[in-house]
Amino acid sequence: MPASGTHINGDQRVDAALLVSAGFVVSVLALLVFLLCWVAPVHARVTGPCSNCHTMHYSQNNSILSEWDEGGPHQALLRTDCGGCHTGTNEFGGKTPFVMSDAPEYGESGIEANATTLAGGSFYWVNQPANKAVGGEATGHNVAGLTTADSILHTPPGFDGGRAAADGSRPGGGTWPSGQQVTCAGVYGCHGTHSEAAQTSAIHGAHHGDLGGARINPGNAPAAGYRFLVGIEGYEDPNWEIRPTADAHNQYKGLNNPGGSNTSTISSLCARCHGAYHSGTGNTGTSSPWLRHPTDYDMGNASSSEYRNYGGMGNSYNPAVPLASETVTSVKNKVTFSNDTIVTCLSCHRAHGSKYYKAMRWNYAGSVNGGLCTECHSSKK
Amino acid sequence: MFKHTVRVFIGHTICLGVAAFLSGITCVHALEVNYTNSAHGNATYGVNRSDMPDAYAVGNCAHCHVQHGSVDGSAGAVHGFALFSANLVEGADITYKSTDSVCFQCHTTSNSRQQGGSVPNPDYAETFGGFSENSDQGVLEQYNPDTQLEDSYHNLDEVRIYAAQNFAWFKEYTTPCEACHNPHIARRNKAHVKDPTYTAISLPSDHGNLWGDDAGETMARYGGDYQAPFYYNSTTSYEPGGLLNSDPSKVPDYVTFCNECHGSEKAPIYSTRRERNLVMVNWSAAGDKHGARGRDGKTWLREPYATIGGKSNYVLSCVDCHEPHASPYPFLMRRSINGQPLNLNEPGLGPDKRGFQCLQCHQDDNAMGYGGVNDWARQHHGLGGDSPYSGRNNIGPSGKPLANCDCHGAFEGDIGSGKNPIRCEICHYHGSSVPNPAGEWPATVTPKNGEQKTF
Repeated sequence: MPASGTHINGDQRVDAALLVSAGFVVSVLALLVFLLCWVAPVHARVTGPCSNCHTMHYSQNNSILSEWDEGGPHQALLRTDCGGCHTGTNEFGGKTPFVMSDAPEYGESGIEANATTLAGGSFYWVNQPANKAVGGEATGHNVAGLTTADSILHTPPGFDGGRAAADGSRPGGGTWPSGQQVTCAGVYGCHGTHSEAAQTSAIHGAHHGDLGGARINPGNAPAAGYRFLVGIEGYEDPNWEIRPTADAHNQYKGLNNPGGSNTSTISSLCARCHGAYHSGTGNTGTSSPWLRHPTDYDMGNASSSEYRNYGGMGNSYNPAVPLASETVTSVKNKVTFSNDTIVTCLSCHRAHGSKYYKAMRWNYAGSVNGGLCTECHSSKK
Repeated sequence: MFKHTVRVFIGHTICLGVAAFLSGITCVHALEVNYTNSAHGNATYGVNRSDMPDAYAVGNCAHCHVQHGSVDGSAGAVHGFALFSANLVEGADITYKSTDSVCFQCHTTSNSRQQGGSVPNPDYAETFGGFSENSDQGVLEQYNPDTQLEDSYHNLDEVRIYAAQNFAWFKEYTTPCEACHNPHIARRNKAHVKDPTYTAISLPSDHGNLWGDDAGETMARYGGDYQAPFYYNSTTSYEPGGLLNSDPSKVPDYVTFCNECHGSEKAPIYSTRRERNLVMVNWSAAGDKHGARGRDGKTWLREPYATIGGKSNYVLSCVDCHEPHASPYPFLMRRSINGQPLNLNEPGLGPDKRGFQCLQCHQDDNAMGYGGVNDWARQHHGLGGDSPYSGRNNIGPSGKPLANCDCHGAFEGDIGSGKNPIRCEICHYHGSSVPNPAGEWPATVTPKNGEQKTF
């Protein structure tokens, strides 16, 4: 209602309406900016201007900015997709973990002083031509949008119906269509829940809710899980394990229960898609002689074995061959063979990829003695 | 490994010490005992399964161990120790096949899984003794020999059972081959037959180490009492490999090795084929004369054992007479012994032919210029010394002089009487003596007026 005695013609009413609308929009945007940039938890990993990640209209002067992904608009008003943000060159102290880059430096095992890859490795080599045990489609996960599809593996090897995450969701809902590429998140992805088809929905709240450090009893929220992995526990190295040392590395969660169905260990994450390699009757067995290489098995069970040479004199933690522990409240710089020498999938593999065949951390296939296999199998050098 | 570590440490210490004071002197010691120095772990001729992706280096673990039971997503059967094939040997008297032991998948000359399709491993008689005639080249083929009168083999199922009962490291699914070989350290002795540092065997009680590669682990430990047999078809060269001189330091101490299971102090070994426990072996000075026990009289030997003066005894190596894997003859007898084929054109080594084994080293009547091949009258009658049934000792089971030849034909299975031979094994076998401790005949014959070892 206009103020008494004030005349407002039609044009004025339109202008007023526009003004009110504009004010409303500004208010909403301001609120959104407030919510996104200020209300976020103190420990959130995502910091800085909202425009670093978001665009309100995916349009600037009726066009898109060069730094935006051309495939937009994207969900959650993002200016690009997962690969768009996480492609780049890692530096020690960097704020964004890059999983794809041009010609990253890996060294021999990805932990050397010149390495520019992180704990998960890099997808880079998947797109490179294969030369024996180096490069090629078998060097990492063949993630849709980032890499070529695998010409041999059309479903995850060892897929046995999809094992449930902590929230009950299963990859593919229990079925993996032939030719379906793995995704970063979602139904066919690793991060977030498998119950959401859209990747951004699958990790909803994760970037803003990430707390870092020890992730214990994470429940079902993607933000609470280790590296946005639903239900997974672990200690997150603040530098994503670039050039890790015995004192600075991720601490992976494991349990001495090779036949178990616990959903908090890092190996249980892999088992969701590669279940036949993890546990169950006729899969790995529950004790030596193993049918397949065990995971979630504490080498401390084998007293007086060759495994006791892990880490050399003093049994230092070797980040090139990481072992998991039952407790992940902090980083362990040495092992005691008591629930802290637990074999995991990541003891041998990089989750994203490495430059080596089958995403191995070291050049296993190209080595006569398996390379760093001898870190545990010390009598086979 | 501790022993090895100490050895390497001492070796390096000596090297450094010598180097500190003397320049220009190279210290040489045995290769480190590890996988990359083993036959399987060699980058050139090591394990190399033909159906594996070429990403895998020769010698790589994956040629034997499929870590996830899958290659490129193929879902095959899974086996213990993540091996690519089974160790299913079961049953006492069988025809062996490639699924009985993962080792057989490659160690065969027929459809070997190794690149090239064939891995020859001739038997001891050929590899170390030089006798290549009519030889099965693959281990699997040797375990299924063209039967002579009676073949024999180290029964793998019985080896498996025995090893599981007596050696803690041996597990339910361990291949029985591992009782003697550690595939992660065994070396390629077939290519270095004169060098025991390339030994392929490990003591069952010390599975993590090689046996025979150290100086104290060769036949030299018997103080010069070991005389190597002749190399095949030679009277001037010796096993192993045709050495120009007998050298005990070139032969692993197979006596200690074999007696880890077959020693008289060990647990009994039941043979389903023999339907009895095997005769256990005492190779000490209180045991057999073929071992460390001194001879108690003269015997008549062939070269190279005849002309060595002043020796009271020889300590034989088990593999001088026996094959370690299998044989077309009974009791794992080698196809050739002391430089000669075993059967000398006879069709086999049946019960009446056992002497062909003995005559490789002992003089039969023919060698003495007295009678026929594999006739033994001269050894047993009228020569004195170890010739027992002559003179006053010439007494038979009836208590009367042996003029009636009543020993001959008196034993079950004998082929006749008169001068027909008595089977050697009636009186001569590991642990045998007269009077026989078991009390059976010829216990009444006391040619030396007391116990006399007859083997």
